[in-house]
Amino acid sequence: MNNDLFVIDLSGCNNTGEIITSVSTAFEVPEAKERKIGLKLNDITLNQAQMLSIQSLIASYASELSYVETPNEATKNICENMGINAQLCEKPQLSTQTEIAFEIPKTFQGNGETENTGMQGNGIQDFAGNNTLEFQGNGENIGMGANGEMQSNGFEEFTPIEFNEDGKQIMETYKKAYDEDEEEKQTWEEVDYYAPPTDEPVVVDSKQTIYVNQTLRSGQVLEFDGNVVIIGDCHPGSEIKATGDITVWGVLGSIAHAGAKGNRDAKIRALKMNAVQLRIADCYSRRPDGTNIPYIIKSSVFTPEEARIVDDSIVLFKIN
Amino acid sequence: MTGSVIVITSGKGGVGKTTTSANIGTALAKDGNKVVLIDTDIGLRNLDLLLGLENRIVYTIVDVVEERCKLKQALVKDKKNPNLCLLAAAQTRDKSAVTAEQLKEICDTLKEDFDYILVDCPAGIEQGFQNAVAGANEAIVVTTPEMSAIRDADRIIGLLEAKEEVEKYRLLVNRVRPNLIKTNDMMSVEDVVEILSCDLIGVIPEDTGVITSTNKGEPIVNDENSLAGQAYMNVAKRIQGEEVPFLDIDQPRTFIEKVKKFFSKKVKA
Repeated sequence: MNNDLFVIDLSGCNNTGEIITSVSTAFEVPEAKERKIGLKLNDITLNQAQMLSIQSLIASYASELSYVETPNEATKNICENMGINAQLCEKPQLSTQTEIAFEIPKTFQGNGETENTGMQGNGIQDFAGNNTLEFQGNGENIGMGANGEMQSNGFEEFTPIEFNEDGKQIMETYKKAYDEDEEEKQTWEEVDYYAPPTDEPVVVDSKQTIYVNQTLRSGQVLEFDGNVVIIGDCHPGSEIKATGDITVWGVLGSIAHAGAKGNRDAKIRALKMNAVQLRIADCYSRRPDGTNIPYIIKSSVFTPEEARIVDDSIVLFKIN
Repeated sequence: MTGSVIVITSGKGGVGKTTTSANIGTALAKDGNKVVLIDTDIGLRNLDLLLGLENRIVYTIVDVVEERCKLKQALVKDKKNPNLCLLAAAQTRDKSAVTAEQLKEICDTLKEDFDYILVDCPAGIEQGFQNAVAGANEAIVVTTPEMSAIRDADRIIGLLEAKEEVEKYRLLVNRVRPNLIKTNDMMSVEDVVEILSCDLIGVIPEDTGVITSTNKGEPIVNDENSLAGQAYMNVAKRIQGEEVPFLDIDQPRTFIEKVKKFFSKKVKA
């Protein structure tokens, strides 16, 4: 076991539930496992049972709770009774969001060289035209597997995705950057976890929504004029193109293009985000080059995230 | 009699489709079933070599389709097992010599006389694949624990899902090396199954005996001591609907390995 203390800042948590959630989240980082753990608590009173459950949660990750910092005297005493080093500290500044005292590595486990022919050609329009699952408007279920389900009350005709001149230009600059300089490739924005949701009013979207109740496998393309909800995983090699939002109830490991006709308010959500590329309207970003695991190992640990455009670049937000 | 038509496919080449076809076919025949193997890899035939039947082929599938012979005449009986037949592919033509409808018709005719019709599919997803899948009502997707093979298998499963005639498809993980899995240098079978979310029909360990048996023209299931042979026998049992536990492929070979294994944890795959 590593003897260095690994401190988890829980000063934003105001009840046991939040603490438990934050601690579980922190243990997504492999470095947190098999270590001594320190906790920084807010001014809340925890009884022995609650402390025990936090302790056993940490123990379940093969780590040991060895230090607690709290502004609350009662909590401190209980910790000391349990044999945990505890110290009193000042009340932390109240913050609405949980902050974790280290940077959570991005969920994306990139695969070394992700070369996408679509990107290197002339922008988005250059998709490989290998459409097994193409929904072309007239409500027919073309090439869907037996368990594909969809609402089929009259879609509008799906027209090829077109970009305005600006969009094309942006695509061109990205393309150039991609071709010319390896270092200057556009990658995910540094992930701004726990950023507060936007203050803009919720716009009720009147677009059609399609439900796809199956796993998208390599080579399958889902195109739809409207929102897409996929109950299942999207394996690498597949593509989703929608003019509205894309929501994946599973692992998103493929290319997803939301707001394909230029809707910059479109969002992409997934229970586990491992997309090769995310495209929203005329912006695109790709998975950072990292460990060479193109397929994320599916597990029961999910980290729901939402991608949306902030200042011309795609940013991922954790959904709490 | 209505036999079942099982296509053995993978997408990627070199993962062991033909070896699997030859071995499962032989194993099913050994269990007393009437089996016919169809090689649809026209122009690049290999299945006859694995069975050691290359010098007995007179008519091929193309001759049947072009009505130069009757279907029964083109079936080559195996040397050892009279229950096993081979319908060979032509070496001098290409995949366009046969259409999907013709192959479906051949499968439907053979169904009446045989319990199992195993179709050895060529690599790729073009005409050859479309032909091979046309008559099938079951599929075995062969893959190895490598990313490239898994991605291709994923593509193939997607194509099979879209075919209504294929009632079920199952995964066969080939060339598994338990010692590499233990050192985390190879994906485990569990990982492969999880990535592809597909039922497993068998796990075949890497075995040098497969190479020698291919060269000799005798399927490895005939070698009772071979681990790969036993694994193929188990796959054949599962095809027949029996429940067979997965083989412990991490079997020690030398005395020292046996002693080591006795003291260490079992790795099952």
